[in-house]
Amino acid sequence: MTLKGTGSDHLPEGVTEHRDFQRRVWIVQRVAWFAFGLILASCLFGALGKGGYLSRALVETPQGTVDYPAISRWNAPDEIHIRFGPCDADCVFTADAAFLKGFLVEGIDPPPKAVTSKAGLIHYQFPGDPGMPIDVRFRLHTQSPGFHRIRVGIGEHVSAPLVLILP
Amino acid sequence: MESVIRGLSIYFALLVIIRLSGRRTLAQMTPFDLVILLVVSETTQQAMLGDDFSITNAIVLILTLFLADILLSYLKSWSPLAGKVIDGVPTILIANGVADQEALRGCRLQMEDVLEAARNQQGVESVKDIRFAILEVSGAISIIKNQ
Repeated sequence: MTLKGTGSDHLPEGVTEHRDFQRRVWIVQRVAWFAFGLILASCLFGALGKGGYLSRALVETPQGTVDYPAISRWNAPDEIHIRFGPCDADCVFTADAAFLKGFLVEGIDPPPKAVTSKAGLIHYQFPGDPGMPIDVRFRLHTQSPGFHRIRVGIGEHVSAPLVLILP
Repeated sequence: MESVIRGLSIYFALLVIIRLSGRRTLAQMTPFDLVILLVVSETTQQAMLGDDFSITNAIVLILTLFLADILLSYLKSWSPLAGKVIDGVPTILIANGVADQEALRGCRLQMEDVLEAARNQQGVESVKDIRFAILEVSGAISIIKNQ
């Protein structure tokens, strides 16, 4: 086998010149490095979950807000933050079975006063405070990867956002 | 089932990432490369095992990885193109004392790396004394000096 460019010299036995193939590989590698950079950049923006602008979303209702993970990762811890506005009566966080299918609730701080179920929805009741807002934190563990259409909200104001749990 | 899917996913993801990052990543190991290797092995271990640390899971994963490796070796022997794509091909870095700058750039190598290999293997002092410097598929640099 002769070496391209030198013409006369013989390569060692078993070594073959594959320059065209190698050029293609080098191009693919450099495109891949750019793709690696894009993946990391999208991660910084939250497209791969666990923090960042895209990874969280907000359901706003007159009684408060639910800050939930829009993009999460399978078998990983995550959180939902609920802020109830000042109110005299009990504050109620509402979720459905799809929420529990996607997320295992590992803990709730502060603990709810009561948990009831009605018409396919689960209601977590917390004592209200007329003087100041109440923050509630659900500590979650993601259960199954894929898209989940969950229903979450406060009281009767329930939204049905799409949540992505990455494998 | 999850163990097999996890094992195969990590195996092929790692294969693709290492192949695309360039052959130099796991050869000519500097202390920094060693750190990367250790961190990667620790990270992949967690991703493969998940929260199941049972002996059964470990055995299933080991079998998965070995079987994937065996199947790939058969694929490479059946298809020369698959072998080239998966393992790469030897790259001529120096021929007759002349460095191939395109090859060096393509493989992310410096001339110093090749000269170091030449000194280590053959006690060669000058690039003019090198007949061939070849970056092997394994990542090692072979030096053949002028007679």
